[in-house]
Amino acid sequence: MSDPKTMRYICLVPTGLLVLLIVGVLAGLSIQLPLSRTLDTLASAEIRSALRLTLLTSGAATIVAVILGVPAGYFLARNAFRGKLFIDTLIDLPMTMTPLVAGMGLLFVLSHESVRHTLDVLGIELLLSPYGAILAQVLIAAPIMTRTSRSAFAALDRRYEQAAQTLGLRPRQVFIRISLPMARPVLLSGMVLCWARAVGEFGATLMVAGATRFRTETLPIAVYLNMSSGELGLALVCAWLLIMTGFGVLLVMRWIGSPLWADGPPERIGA
Amino acid sequence: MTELRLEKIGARVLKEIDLTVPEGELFVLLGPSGAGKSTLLQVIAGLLAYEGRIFFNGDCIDRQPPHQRRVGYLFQDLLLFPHLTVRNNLLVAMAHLKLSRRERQERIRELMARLGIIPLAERYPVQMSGGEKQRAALARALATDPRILLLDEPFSSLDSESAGRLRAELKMHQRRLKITTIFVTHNWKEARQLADRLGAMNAGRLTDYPNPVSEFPKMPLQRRG
Repeated sequence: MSDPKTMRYICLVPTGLLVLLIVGVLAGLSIQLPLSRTLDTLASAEIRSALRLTLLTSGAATIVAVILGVPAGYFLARNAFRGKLFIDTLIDLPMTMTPLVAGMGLLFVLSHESVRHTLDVLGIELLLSPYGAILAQVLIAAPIMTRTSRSAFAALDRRYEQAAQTLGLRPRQVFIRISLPMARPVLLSGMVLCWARAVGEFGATLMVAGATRFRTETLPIAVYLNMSSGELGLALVCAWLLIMTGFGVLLVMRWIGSPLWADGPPERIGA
Repeated sequence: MTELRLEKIGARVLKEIDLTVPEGELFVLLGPSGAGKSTLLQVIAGLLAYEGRIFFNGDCIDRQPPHQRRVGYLFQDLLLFPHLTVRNNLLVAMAHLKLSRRERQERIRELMARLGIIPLAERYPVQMSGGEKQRAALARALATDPRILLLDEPFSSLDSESAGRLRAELKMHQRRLKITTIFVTHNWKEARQLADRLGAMNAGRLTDYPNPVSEFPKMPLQRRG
């Protein structure tokens, strides 16, 4: 019905539209960016504080997400149990939930009297604090890490783990010395994705940590606050910082690609 | 030196397998695909649940997990760890041995020299030929200081010349180390070349072949299906 050339043109139209849409958004943000004042704005105390807080909270959230998500992913990949489908779906849920709603749930839990009392006794301040921002980011980012880890370990040929066992490695050693390094490229991609998600997290952070300048003001919160108060220049600079971060993350993910040991065809040197 | 004794082993296709392999013997298990040969090796290594009992030198090892059995297992696909060099593949296999760093390095060098793979020490599996991988995998299996060596059709993917050369080398190493070995194959010629004693496996049952080796029948087993 259609030759390859026609098919190429048919596919080119939606591709072009998609590119146009994205370029349009970027152009819209560029036109409004006050280029002459960008450097000054970047150096402003508020932007520096927002950037620092974003890096700190997203970094901490990524570490926690990895600590939770990697073992959880391994567990789900390697075990069959009653209710697995339910647990599996439940862990994925925050990825499909509106972050605002997830944050609202977290806010209600943290506001509950017994939880508040326990946190007070332990001296942990989560609500309206940077720690709350970390928790909100973990809630949204950890399922990504779990999902990625699960896929990575499920794709790993289990016989490598069996071979390691016959070599005298205990299950913990098998995980650390064999499974984890073999799954490393995918896990690294997951980690980068997880961090990017934490950097851009807004809804849940707003609910739990609030939007207080210089205290819980991450870059997305800074965009929101400055848009609300009419400081368009500041909002745009923050927005561009987020966009550049996202672009950098995608580049890194493509660069991570395949590890050295999986590269190229085997070099035959003779038996 | 370890004697292996299996009593009424049942697992998946296996049906009441009884077998004794005396110390230092190379026992070849011959049979068509799907007969249960690999399953039996997995059972001995502790990788599959089973019924019956397994003894090493009279000690029952049924309760020992795979990492405690000290079984050198050469898988059909070799399963060299792709993210590790040959040297590190061997080092991983020695992780459980109580040796100093220096002793480990010496042992690795000795093993690699014995199998002629010293030049491959820093190569990754993807950078090696089939025969080189076989040698590296055999070195790794031996690096664990195993009581029993289990070999699951390790030369099946090689051309006949390389396979023949490696069989001769294997036989030589097995003789020198006097390590009790079970070698699984469906290749009649391979079985004749290697076996001290031979068993035939079909549909999960183990039957004796006339022994000693000189009395092997000339007809190869038929492949199933």
